[in-house]
Amino acid sequence: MSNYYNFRNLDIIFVDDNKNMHALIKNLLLAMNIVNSRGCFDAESCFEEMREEPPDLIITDLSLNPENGLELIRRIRQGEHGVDRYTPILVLSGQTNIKDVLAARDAGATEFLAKPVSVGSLHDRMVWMVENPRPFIKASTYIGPDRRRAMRGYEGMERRK
Amino acid sequence: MTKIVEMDGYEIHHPVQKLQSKVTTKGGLSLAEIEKRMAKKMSALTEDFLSSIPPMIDAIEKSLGQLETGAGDETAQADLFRHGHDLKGLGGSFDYPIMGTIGAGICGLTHKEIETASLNLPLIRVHLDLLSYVTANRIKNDSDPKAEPILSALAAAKAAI
Repeated sequence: MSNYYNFRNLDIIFVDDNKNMHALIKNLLLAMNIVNSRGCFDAESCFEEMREEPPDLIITDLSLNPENGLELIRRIRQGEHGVDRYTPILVLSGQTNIKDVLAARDAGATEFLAKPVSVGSLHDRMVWMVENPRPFIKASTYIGPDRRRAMRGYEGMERRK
Repeated sequence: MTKIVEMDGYEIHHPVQKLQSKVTTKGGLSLAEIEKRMAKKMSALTEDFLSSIPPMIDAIEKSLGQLETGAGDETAQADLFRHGHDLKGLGGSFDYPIMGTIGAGICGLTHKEIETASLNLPLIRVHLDLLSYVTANRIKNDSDPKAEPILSALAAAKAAI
């Protein structure tokens, strides 16, 4: 990578129901100079934060309590409560089998990053998102990033089914 | 302003790319610098993580005990799965991959497709004992010499059950 990206101006909401993961993500973002981040433990508080101040990126787990992370992604893509449906969504999850990755993609996730997470893997995925923006597709049964263009690490996964 | 292109049966949306507009190539940090900054924080974060494991062990013990005495139901099973899932994601993230492996094992033994009455409780108990052992001895991975006895015990338990 030739560019040293400056992420400082980003405002990020992360959603995870575990407090250790909150501390870790907050510090991973701080290490990347991202000082504006807000942690949420569930989908409803994520919506509240989104309404309060629209973020530039959402990082979410898939296994939330009580609501499933997939449902959160679908609701954001529907623009529920008037939130910006185009907000980039990075899924950060330990549910890493192909079924879960495809479900996240079909719910409208922008990218998928498997736990365990490191500063290197998170940085790599965010650089990928900056360098590879995707248009949105709105059809009768889907709204989200164009699925014909692969997510990072997703290339060829469907062929391995 | 989102540019929308009408296609045959769907639309292509070109929203303002928030990440691209906020992330610059001026004043950014190299990945090496970011990793260095994160390394300074990991020690304290890991201590917090390790201090959260004994309460988790108690919670697993409680749910497993309920199931072993016939007083547990799907809720106890779901609790076990949730703790396993947390461990799976957290272990590797905090440089204790062996805890992640134990968490993955608990998930595999308690996922919702397994009927509560069919749970392999003795093998779940072995995983709980392993978790207690690696926590007490601060064993990070299976290359630690202290891990050898438990890996042998796990192999023997799996063969016997």
